[in-house]
Amino acid sequence: MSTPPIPNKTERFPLLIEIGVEEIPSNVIAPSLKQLATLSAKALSSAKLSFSEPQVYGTPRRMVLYIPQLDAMQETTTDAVVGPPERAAYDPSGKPTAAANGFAKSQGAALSEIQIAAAESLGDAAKGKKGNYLVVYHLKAGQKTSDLLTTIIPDVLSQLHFPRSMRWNNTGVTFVRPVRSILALYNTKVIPFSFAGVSSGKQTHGHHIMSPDAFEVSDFEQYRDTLARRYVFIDPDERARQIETQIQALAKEKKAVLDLSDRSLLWDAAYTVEYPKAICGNFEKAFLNIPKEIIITAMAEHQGYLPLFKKSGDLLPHFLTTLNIETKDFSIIQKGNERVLRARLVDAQFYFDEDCKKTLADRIIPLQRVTFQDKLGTMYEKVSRLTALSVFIARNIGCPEPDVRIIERAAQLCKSDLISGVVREFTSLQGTMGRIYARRDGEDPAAAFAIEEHYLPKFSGGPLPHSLPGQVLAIADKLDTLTGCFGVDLIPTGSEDPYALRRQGLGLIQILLSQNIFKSLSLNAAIEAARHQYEIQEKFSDDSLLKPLSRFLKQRLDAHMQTAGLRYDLREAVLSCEMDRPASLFDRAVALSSFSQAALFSPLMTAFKRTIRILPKGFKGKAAPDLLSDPAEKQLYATLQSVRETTERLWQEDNLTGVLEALATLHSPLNAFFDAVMVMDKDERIRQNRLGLLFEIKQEFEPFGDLSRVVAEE
Amino acid sequence: MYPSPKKTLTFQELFLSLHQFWADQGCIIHQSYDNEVGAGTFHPATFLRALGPEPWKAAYVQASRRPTDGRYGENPNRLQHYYQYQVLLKPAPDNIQDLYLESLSSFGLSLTSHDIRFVQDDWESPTLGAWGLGWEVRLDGMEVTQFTYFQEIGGIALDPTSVEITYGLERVAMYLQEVDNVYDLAWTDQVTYGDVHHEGEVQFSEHNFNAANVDALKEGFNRSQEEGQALISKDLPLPAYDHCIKSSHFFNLLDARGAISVTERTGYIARVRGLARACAASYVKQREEAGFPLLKR
Repeated sequence: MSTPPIPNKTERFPLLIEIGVEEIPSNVIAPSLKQLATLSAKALSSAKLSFSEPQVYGTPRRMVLYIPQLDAMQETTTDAVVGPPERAAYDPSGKPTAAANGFAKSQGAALSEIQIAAAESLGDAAKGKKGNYLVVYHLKAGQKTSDLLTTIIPDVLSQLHFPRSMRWNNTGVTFVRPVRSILALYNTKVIPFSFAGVSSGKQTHGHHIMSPDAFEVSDFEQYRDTLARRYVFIDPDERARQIETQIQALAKEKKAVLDLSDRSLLWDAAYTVEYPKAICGNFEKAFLNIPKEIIITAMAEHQGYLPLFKKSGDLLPHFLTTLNIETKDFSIIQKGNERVLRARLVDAQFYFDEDCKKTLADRIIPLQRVTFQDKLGTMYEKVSRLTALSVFIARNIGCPEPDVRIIERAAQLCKSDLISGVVREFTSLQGTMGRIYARRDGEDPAAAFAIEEHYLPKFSGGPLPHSLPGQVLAIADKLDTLTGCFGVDLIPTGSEDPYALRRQGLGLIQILLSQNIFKSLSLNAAIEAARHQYEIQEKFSDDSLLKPLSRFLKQRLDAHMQTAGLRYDLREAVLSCEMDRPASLFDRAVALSSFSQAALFSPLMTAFKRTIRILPKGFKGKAAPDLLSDPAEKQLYATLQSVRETTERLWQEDNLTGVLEALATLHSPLNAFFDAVMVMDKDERIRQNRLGLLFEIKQEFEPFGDLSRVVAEE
Repeated sequence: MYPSPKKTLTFQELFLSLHQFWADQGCIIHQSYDNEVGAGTFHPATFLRALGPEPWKAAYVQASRRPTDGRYGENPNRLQHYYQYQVLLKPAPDNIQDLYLESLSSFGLSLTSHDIRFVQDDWESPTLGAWGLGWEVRLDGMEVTQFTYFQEIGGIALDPTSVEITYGLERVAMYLQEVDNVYDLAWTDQVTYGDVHHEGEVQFSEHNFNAANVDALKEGFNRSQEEGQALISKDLPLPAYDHCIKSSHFFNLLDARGAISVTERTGYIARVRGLARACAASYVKQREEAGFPLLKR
C-alpha cells in the first residue's frame, strides 16, 4: 500500500538579537525583556519551529534575545489529495479509467505517482469515506528559518508594548525610546530586515562613552565577552551582584552596616548602568543633627543614594552611589555628587529648623487653609471629624479612658505635619515627621507613634499599624475618607480611583481583621458615626451612601479573602450575608474552607442542596413534633434538637469548625428522611410540617451564607 | 616657567561656547523672547516652529521666570528669574545624543572623567497642551539638561518630531566653576551673577509674593485671554500667541500670590491651553496656505 514520504529532521542553530536603544527607563527594562522572550517564543511556535528556552538580557541601552538552539527549517509536510475510489479508477481489465486519468492530470502527476490508500488511513482528507481511494501525496517543503526570521523578528519588535511609547522619525514606528541599531544573527549570518528605519547588521557597540566604536559579532559567547571587555555587562543579575559586592566592600571599609531590606534601590541601580561602579561619598557631620529619616529620604528620593549606618542604627556621614563609568580618578565625580547632596541637605536643614519654631498644636488652625477635598472642606475640618470619630470607635471597643485620651490627642495632631516645610519638600515623610515633631513637642510617645501609624498600610500588602491608638486612628481616617467620598459621589469606577479608595478600603478591612478587639465593632455604626460628622459640618446629610459603601467594603473583604487563599464559591457563599462585622464573615469563610477538606463535606452539601431545592421560595415554617409520624422524620427531628443544643454552645465558644462538624451529623438522618418520606404529602398539614422541619434545618446553616453557591462534588 | 593656570569658563563664556557649537551644527542663533516666559519652550522659535513639516534648527538663551521659585536672594540654588539655553532641532537628527555629548566637550568637559546619565523624564506642559518623552541628563548626580523628543504641541501631533535640549545654564556654570552659591558665579572675571541679579531676586520676590496687585493681575489675565481670542479670529496667530504667553505669566504671578484655589487652578490652566491650541492651529494653517516656505530650502 502507500507510504507518505518522511520529512528530514532539521538541524538547529543559535539566534542572537540585540536592539540598541537610547536609554530605556529603568523600571521598563525587565518587563520589556520578559515580553521579548514570550512574544518570540509565541511567534516561533506558531511558525512551527522548535527551539530551546529563550534567554533575555538587557541594559538601559540594549535589549538582547538569545536562543541557543532553533530549528533551521520548518518540518516538511505532506498533503494527501484524495481522488476517485479505486473501483471507479480501473476497468475490469485493470486499465485506468477516464476518472483516474483526469485525477492524475488535475494534480499534475503521472499515473505512476498515484497511489492507492485505505480511506481510514487518510484521516481528514477522506473524511466519511470507506474503502480504497486513489491518492497523490504532495510534499510541502518547510521554509528556511533564516527566511522566516526576516518577518518574525520585526513583527515581534512591533508587538512589544510599553507604558509610554514615542515616535522619533518619519517611519511612524513607536517604541519606548529611539531604536538606533539592530544586531540580528542566525547561525552566525545576518538576518536581513529593517525596523523603524534601522537596518539589521552584525555589529554592535561597547559602552556609549568608554567604548563607542562598533565591532563585529560572530556568536553569543564572543558577543557577551567582548562587550564585558568594552565595559558592558549585559546580564542584569550579574550587574546587581557586582553592585552588591562593591557596596558591601565599601561599607566594610567604613566599618558600616548596610540596610538592603529594600532591594529596589539595588535593582534600580542595576537597571540604570551598563558598567556598575559603586563609590562612597561623604557629607558634613553637622547635618547628622537632622533626623535620620529626612537625610535618608533626601538621599534616596531623586538621587538613589544608599545610606550607611553604625551598628547602633545611627547614621554615618557617608553615602553610596552607583556610577556608569570607569576612570582613574573618581574624586571629581565624588565631589560632584557630594555637592548635589549637600544642596539638598542644606534645604532639609533649613526646613527642619523652621519647622521646629512651631509645635504641631500651633499648626492645627492653619490647616483651615489646606483643602482635603473640594466638596468635603479643609484638613482642619477633617481633623475635627477624625477626633470625634476616633473617640467614638475607641469607646465602642471598650478602650480604657487613658487610651481614649491618647487617641484623641493623636487625632488632633495627626495632620499638622502636612504644612511643615519638610513634608512639603518630602511628601513621603508625612506621618513620620508628625511622630518626630510630636516627640519634640513633648507629646505622649504613644500618641506620637499613632500619628505615624495612622497612614498604614501605605501600599497594598504593606505593614499594618501595631499600636492600638495607631489602629484606631487609621480606621477612623480611612472611614472618614471613604464615607466622605461616597457621600459626594466620588465612587471609584473601573481604573479611575483618584483618592485610592480601594487601597484605603482594603487597609481598613485588614486592620479590622488584624486584632480581636475590633471583632465587636459594628462597621455600620462606625460608618453612621462618620456620616453624622459630615452632617454636623453640613457637607451632606444623605444617608443612602451606606449601601454602596457597604457593598464596596464587602468587595475589599472578598479581595482580602482571595489573598488568604479562600475558594471562590466559599467566599461567594459567605459574602451573601449582610456584613456588619467583617471579621465574623472572614472567620466563617475560614471555617468553611477548612471543613471543605473533610470527607463529610460533599455529602453534607448534597443533602443540604436537596433540602433547599424542595423548599418553595420564601417558605417559612416550623415543625410540630406531634405531627411527625414516620420514624425517619422523627429521627431527623430528634437529631436537629441535639444539634441545636450543641451548636448553640459552640457558637458561644466561637468554635466554628465545631458548629460545622455538628451540622454534619444531620447528613445521614437527612438522607434517610428523603429516602423514606414523601415531603409533598397529600395531606396539607403533614406537607407543611415536613417543609417546616426542612426550613428549620436550613436556618441552622444560614450563618454560613448561601451554601447553595458552594461547588461540591456529587 | 610656570604652568598656565587652569582656566574655568565664565558664565558668559559658557553660553558663548554653546552658541558657537550649535551655530556649527547649522542652528540659527536666535535671541531671548521679549515677553516674560516660564521656559524656553514658550519662545515662538520653539512652540510655533516645532509645528508643521518645515525643518527648523534654532539655539538661544531664554531668560525665564518662575515667580513661585523666588527666595529673596537667600537660597543658593533657587531663582525666580534664570537662564535656559534652548536648542530645538526639527527633524530630530539620528545622532542627537552624540551631538549633545559633544556639546558638553565643547566647553571643556571631559566625558570620560565624569558620570553622565540619561534618567527618564516624561515631560508634559498642561498649559501648552504639549508633551514629550526623554530624560533629564545628570552630570555627576546633578541635573544639568532636559532632553525631550516632542510628541505633541498645542494639542497637535508633531510630524516630523523635533528634539528639544534645554541646558540649565546656572547649574552647568556652578558645576564648572565649582561654586555652591549661584550668586558667586563669575559672569565675567570682574562681575558676578549676584552683581547682575541679586537685587532683582530680592525685589521680584517681594513683588511676586506680596506686592503684585491681585485684582490687576486677574484683570490682566482676562484681558490677554480676550485679546488673544480676538486676534485669533482676525487670523493673527503671532500676536495672539503673545497674549497667550502673557496670560500664562499672569497666572504664574497669581499662583505665587496664593490667589488661586485648587479648584480655580484647573480652569485657569485650561484657558491658557485653549488659547495655545488656537494659536497652534491658526499658525499651522497659515504656514500651509503659504506653501510651507522653509520646505523648499
